Amino acid sequence: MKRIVNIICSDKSLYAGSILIGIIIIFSLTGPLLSPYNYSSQNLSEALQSPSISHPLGTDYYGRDVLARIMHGGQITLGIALLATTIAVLTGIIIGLISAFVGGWLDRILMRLVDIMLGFPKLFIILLVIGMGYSSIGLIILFLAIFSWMEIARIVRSEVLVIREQLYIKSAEAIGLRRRRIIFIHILPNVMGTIIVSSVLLISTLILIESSISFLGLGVQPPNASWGTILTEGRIDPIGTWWISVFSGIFIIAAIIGFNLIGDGLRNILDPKFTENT
Amino acid sequence: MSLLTVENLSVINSSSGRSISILKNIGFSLNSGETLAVIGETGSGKSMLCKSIIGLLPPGFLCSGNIHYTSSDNTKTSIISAEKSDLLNIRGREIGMVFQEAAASLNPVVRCGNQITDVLSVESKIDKNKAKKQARKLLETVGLSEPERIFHAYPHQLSGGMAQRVALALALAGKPQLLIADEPSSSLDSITKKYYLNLLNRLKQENNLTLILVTHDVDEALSFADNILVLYAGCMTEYGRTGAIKKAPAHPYTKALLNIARALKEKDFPTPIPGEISSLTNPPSGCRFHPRCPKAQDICRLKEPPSIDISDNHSVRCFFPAETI
Amino acid sequence: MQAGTTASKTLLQIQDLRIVYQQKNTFFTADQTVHAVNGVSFSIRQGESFAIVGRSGCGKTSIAMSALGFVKPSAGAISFMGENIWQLNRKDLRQLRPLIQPVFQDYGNSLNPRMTVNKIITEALRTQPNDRTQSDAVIQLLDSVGLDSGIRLRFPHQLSGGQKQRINIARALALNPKLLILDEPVSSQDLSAGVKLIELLNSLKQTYELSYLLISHNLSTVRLLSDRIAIMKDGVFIERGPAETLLQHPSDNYTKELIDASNLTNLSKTEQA
Repeated sequence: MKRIVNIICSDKSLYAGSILIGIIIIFSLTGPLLSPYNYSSQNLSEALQSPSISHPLGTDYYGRDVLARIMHGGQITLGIALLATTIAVLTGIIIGLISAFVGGWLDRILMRLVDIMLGFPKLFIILLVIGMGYSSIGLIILFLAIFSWMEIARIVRSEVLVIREQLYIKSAEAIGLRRRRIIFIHILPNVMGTIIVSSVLLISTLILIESSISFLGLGVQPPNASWGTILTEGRIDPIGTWWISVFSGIFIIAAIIGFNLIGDGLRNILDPKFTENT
Repeated sequence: MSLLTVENLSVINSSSGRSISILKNIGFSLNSGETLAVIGETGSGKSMLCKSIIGLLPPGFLCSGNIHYTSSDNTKTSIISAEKSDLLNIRGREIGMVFQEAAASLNPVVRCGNQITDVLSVESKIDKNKAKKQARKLLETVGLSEPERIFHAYPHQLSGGMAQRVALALALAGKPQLLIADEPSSSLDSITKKYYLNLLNRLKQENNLTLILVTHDVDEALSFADNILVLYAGCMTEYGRTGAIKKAPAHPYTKALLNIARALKEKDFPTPIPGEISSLTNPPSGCRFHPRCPKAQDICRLKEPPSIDISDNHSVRCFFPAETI
Repeated sequence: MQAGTTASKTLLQIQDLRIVYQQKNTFFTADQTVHAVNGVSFSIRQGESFAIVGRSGCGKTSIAMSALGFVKPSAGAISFMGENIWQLNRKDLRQLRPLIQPVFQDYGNSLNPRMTVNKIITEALRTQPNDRTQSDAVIQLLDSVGLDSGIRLRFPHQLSGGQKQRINIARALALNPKLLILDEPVSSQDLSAGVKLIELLNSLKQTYELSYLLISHNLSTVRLLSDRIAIMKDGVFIERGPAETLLQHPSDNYTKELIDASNLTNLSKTEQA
């Protein structure tokens, strides 16, 4: 634990990013437990109040506390992004490894699949399916994952192809180690740095995509809330009810900046030569 | 006439928070047309010496002492205190440099011929076609048998020996007086190496070049240079005419190196120097060679040895230098 | 060395080895066939040290890579202890591999940058039946190559060139090999460090009854390490024989040129690449 703290402190952008994301996560997880309001309980008599002591971030059209909704929305938004990233990264690693190690026609097919998937108008497909009435959080996660494993697969494949030719892998082969061990113990750790960095950056991309879908009214459906859902609730009168969109927007931006800072910091730190000083 | 004078040169690296002494009290002077060989093990500061002379020390490295260079128009420049623009005029035009990794020092996406042509047309202010002709001639001069093919080749298409020659041609394109070659032959096989050294010898005579040859091959230094400077862990242990050092090396370190080189040639089994080269980050007290020295006494651990002049142009830093005959 | 080696059995036998590389055409150049090795035969007995000497690009490294099971020969046979290694199935090859260990010229790049010295050596020990505890074995191996056990927790980038080279040798020794393939073991070392490495290799050869296949371009250091030398040029051996005889009475002009090149005192007029 102390080592992790040391590592985080050793890079400025990692430090800033970790604090930012840490605050957002703690805020989203513990906030709802402390708040007197529920994110979905309506109170029409208190509708559309501007920020005040009792409602620090104001209330929306149904008199729901915006702060409580943003805290709950944080759980949903971050949860969707993290889960989808995990699925996408695991899929990407597996497909990248298969592509690099099996090679031949399978490699060619998988890489063409990557090209096709990258060329797909993903927002259009998502809108089409969800627009047909099948909207659920699970489906959103699945969609985000399906359309974002390709980058990781490409990175894994190309890095593995380079590392496989390095003399330390030749040495491991000459030792007589099994192929499985060479892949997972000798090759994969050397690819991990790049994977982690691009995964963290993927999280921020997915937060943005999820917010866009929800903003279009096709993502997380009210009364449930993600940051994008809340953002969209203020669009009817953006000036008169500015607090609804501005505060949810700030959280979206803060989370994206936070994850990008962490990604940048990790890029510096995951160079093996860095461990020397910590 | 002295072309390059180095006096009391010390280099300190303070980039990691504490200061590490990389070079200490280096002094020599090099006459026009002569060759100086700098020998020493990996980590002795040879490359740093070259970089100080050409004014290319990385940021965080502090230089003290004096480096005086006399240009072809007889103006004297102090490299250490010179303006950036003056240094730019000296680099390439007055002092050329060839690096150990020749292939890596060439631009990978420009054809070899074009790289030389570019330098020629800027330096000699001549038009492209004339420069191209000269570039081809230069490739011929450095002994490349197919100058036309090399002219159109990219650096990665060349063998190690060829790349080293192209890098040499590139350095010569600025028509320098002084050429610094940092371990040019260490990655070449023995035959290629010998060809390369012969080439260097001829070019030196044809162009009246002054040469600083950095090497860890003692044999190369002995057979090639007029003067030899022996570096150990950033300290100048011995400096003198090649003949004098060959006949009577005064420093125990020089002696050990020469013995190994001699044994290899006479097909005996050489005696290595015990221990490893001391680190620059944590150098031993007193004489930096004392942990490995067979002659070390208490004084060697306590004090830094003074520079003793054994004869004209032959100095050694040791409390117990070998007797000269 | 003469009487002993003639009695001992043949370890590695290479017969009429040919290696051809197909260079795929790029946008600019046509397909090319490169004959790297063009019919080479030799054998190495147990405890013997055999050197292949030639300029870079003569095909010597291809022979080594082929004997290690990395480059498939286009013709000919490579037998190790009577087994043709290119006819073994994957499992049998994996079991044979520990017995032939490489020490690559680029010793820095042959250590995994994300593993400590300890991990690098224990990875090699995994394939061995363990009779000692692993940490004891690692310490003992480091000791046998002249390294302090304190080095165990370091990463490769924290080691000097000489130390990296020795870790490579220690890892090879962990597998109880019979044959070490040494690619330019001393050429990138300083003079004194190189001599120390030669001393180490010679004493390890005695202690562990090793055989060496040396690949080098430098006759003056190869001489100190090998019993027999073959001179290679353009994919074939042009001369071979016992080390001292070959160096003192070379019959081929190319051999003479190589010997001459290791002696720099008479820099002459030859300078063509």
